[in-house]
Amino acid sequence: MNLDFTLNRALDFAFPIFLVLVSLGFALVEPSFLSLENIFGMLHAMAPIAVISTGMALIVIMGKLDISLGSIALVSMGVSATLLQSGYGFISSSVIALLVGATLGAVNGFIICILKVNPLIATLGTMLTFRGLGNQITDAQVVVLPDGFRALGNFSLGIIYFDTVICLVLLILVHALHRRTKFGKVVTAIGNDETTAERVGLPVTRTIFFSFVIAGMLASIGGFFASAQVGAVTSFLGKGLEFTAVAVVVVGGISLFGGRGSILWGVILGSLTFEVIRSGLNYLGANPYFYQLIGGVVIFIAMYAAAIKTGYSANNS
Amino acid sequence: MVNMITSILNFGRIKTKLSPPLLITGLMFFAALIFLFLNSPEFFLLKNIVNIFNQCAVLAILSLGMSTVMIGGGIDLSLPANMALSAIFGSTIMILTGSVALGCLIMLISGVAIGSLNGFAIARLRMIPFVVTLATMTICGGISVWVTNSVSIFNQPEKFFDIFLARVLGLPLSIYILILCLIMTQIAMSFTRFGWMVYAVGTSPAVCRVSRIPVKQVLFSTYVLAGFLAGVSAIVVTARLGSASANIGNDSVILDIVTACVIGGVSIYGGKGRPFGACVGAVLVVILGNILNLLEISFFIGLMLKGFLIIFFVSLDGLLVKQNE
Amino acid sequence: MNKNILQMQNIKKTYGPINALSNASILLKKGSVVALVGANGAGKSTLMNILGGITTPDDGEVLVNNKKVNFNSPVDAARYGIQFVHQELSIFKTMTVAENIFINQFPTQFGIISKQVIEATTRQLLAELGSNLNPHHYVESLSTGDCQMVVIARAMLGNPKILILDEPTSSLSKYEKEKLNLVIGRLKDAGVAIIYITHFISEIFEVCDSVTVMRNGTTISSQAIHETDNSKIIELMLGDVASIEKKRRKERNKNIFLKVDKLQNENKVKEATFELNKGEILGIWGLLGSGRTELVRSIIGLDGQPKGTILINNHGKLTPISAEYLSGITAYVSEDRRGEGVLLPMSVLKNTALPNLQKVSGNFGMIMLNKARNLATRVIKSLSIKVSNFDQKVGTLSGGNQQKIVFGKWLETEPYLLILDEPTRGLDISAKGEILKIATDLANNGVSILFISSELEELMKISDRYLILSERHVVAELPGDSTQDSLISALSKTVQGSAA
Repeated sequence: MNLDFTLNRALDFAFPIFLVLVSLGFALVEPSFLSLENIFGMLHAMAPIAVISTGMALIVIMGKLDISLGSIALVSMGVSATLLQSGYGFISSSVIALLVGATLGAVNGFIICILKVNPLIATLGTMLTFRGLGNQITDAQVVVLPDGFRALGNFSLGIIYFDTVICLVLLILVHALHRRTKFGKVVTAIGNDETTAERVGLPVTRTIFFSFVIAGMLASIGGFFASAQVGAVTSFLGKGLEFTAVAVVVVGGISLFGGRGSILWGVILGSLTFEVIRSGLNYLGANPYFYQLIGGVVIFIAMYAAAIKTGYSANNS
Repeated sequence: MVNMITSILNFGRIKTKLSPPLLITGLMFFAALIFLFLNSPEFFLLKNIVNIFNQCAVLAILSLGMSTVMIGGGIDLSLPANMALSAIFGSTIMILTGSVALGCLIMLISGVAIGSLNGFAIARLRMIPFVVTLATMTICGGISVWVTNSVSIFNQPEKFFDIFLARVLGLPLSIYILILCLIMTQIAMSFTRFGWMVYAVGTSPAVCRVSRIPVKQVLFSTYVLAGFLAGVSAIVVTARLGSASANIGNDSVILDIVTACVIGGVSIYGGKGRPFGACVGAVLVVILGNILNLLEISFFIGLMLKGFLIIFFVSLDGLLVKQNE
Repeated sequence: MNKNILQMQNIKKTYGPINALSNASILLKKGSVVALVGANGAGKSTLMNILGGITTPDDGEVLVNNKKVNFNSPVDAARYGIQFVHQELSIFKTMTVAENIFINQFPTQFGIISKQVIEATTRQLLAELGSNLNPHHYVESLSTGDCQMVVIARAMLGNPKILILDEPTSSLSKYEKEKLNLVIGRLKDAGVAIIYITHFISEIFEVCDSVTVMRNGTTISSQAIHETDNSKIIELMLGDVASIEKKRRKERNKNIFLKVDKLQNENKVKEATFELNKGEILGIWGLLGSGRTELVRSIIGLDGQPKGTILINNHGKLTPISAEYLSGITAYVSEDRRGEGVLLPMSVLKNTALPNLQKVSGNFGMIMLNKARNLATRVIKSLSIKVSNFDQKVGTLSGGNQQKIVFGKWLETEPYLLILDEPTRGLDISAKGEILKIATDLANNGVSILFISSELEELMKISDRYLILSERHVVAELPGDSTQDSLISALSKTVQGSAA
């Protein structure tokens, strides 16, 4: 039994150690990699994925999955950009973007809770539907955002970026929601065992529904950051982002089976890991799509590790 | 209102002996054909019908593979990415060695290998099919782009295109390949031990375990078969497009495959549906695509429509399952 | 002081054609513990579900504190001070003790959970129960006994006047059982009335003040604990068994088929040693939870690899075999017909073919449809199954016919060993008779049978010998001519020095 236990504990530390090793590795090749400026630059670049992963983390802790988040980001920003071009103000288009994210999250919630479709299939369907919608709205063209956007998106006080701060605030808020409110406790309970949660009389349906709404809203904020950094909304916005978000969450120690993990530390660890990998690969001049590959490999490894963890009891039957 | 819908569907079911999802599909098919007849009768020219089948050959072959996996209760999101990567591997070998046969063989082997990877993770390691095949899809996609540097491979030997674009009795070879795959898969599912076991496993793995059915092997085999068919479709698609690239495995392909299976009566929950149905579903998806083109409806709205169809059919399926209990 | 706090009278409840309760009642005095016992299907769960607000009675009345009440939900019941601790503990493994206790009713301030309040109240509750659990520990690291303590503490939050404990000791060690008894004592002192449902009859003498016995949906008796004993209670539970006409030949050559030696499978089967003869029907007898199903599943390796030895008679010599090998020559009729017996949405043809695929297939694994059809037809004819044709979906058949399909498909595999686990459950009288006859015919033809049943009557009708199980051990083997009394009193035997 001892081997099992140490293996389990080792796996817990595996990803943080991995992050440290990879960072050191890149630093060896390029010493400025670990400079303060670069680190904060990475925090800035990873703001979009971190925000989206925050929403994903909430869903995964609940024991479910939402692979439509990237598409929600696209639709929200598509709507927002279109409105901006038609002369709407910054504030109203941003608020509307948030509402769109909430609405699309509600659509997911509806399909899953009311129509009782399996979340995996439901969000597969909505991922593709929403992407179609988003591309329809933007006509798959690049929509350039007003200058102010780009400035805002890359605004920084010294080396600390504006979006990093917002991202951290959101992360802390959602983390607090998870850890310190009734809602959050129900989320964890559902992730443990939905049937038991129902049996005890917890408001399961309501909680699942609103979690998807929150994830949708966070997705639109993530989309906002991503578009603002670039200064435009392209049809590539959010593409594959949901897969990376799953990988981020998994690396951050949040189990796909639900009920476990810390949103704050998990998302920080996960998004930092992927950002380090991405910018490191960038530095080395490696193919950017290599990054996509890494995401898939990581999910695989993490699932394998999780399977080993639970496998000792499962393999006996 | 739900009750009203289900009673109408039950009425239809009794009258036509078709299950409600198939009924609706049948109606859609019918409506589509009528629409086409009225609006563009040239659709029904033999030449055009042959063209339609040619168009949907790749989708149909992939859907055959997917239907097998779904009937066993699983799902394989990596099929298009598998096809793309296998096409790339095979084309590269073909160009390097000049041997068409070897290239095609590599495509098939690659398809089987990726399918085996999925099967191993799902059957032996008991991982969740959706997430595992999602990961495989990302990995294959990543490797495809990396290996080709996002550039299509189009200088396969002429002989390759000569063979696979040939026409026999006026019909393109791809249709024969499709028919062959359809017959073999349908026979396998309806008339072999393997097929009956897949249906049983998809219905209830517990009953199978008691009946000494090797559940793990059966599941593994479904993914290998799907991978093999992905390899076959790699050959057909490379010939048709004239090139192999990472893009042939893009997002909308998996959407089409799932739509085709779902409207073809294959249940996502397992144990129901037939490969033939998935083929019919593929044809319908292509026809719907053509109609949308005709109506000049944007591609993206088409995507939305397909997403909607998937959700509709799956919730209908779930509703009926609950009703029967 | 000892007022009636609860009275349930003349309760009737039917579920469609099934009469769950025909005249059930129970009386509970304040601060007392009533044991509620009865065989499987006697109606205990239904009665308690009514009390717990999970379902409503068709007739009869429920009086709390001498006032008539109607519950429409567990929340309603809770309002009257009724809390139900289910057998399957509703706990959340990745959450702490305190969180589990408060899961339904977190105290908050401006939406934020008040951590100090929870911790303080948890400590207080646990202290009242005499437990020294740490409120911050995660439940997944707790033993079953401690988990139960958490669930009881959760129930205590509602300040219950009536607490229902459903099979509270079935997964507890000896030490934990003693702790639970202490807790029950404290609850009694605090004025809580308790209904203690159990099938471990011997235990009720330690904590309960009175015992109510149910049988066939009716309350048979209600006595103070000192006025009765183990055997009397079991007799009441099982009722009078009319003189059983044995349906088996008496004379038979003893020819050993199988020997199981010191079989052990984690905590599902603690120790089993027995022999089975060829063509013999060995009736496996024991109370709920004694491990009968687990035993038969373990010898064919359905629930993991068991430890110990399985020997088979190979031309006169006893040779060891694996559970897997035994499974290959065994037909297992599970007690869960719908979950493990038949594929409901599939046809009779496909169901009967499933364990016989080798038999009905030819070259290249192709199914020979005519062979499969013949097999299905044989099964239908030989067991007189009422079905229009073999394409009919099994889910549309009656329970009895479904069970016959299960039998039929297994018989075609020509097994050496047949395991029957509650084969007649849920069937009508004539179907029951037919199943028993099929079993005896098979035994007469040389098939060895392990027969599990909770109905003593049918067990006695066809068993050649009896194997008595208690608390996951094989405790005795009894001869075929044992009387009903001796069988019942055999159940009262507990395992000496059972491990904690």
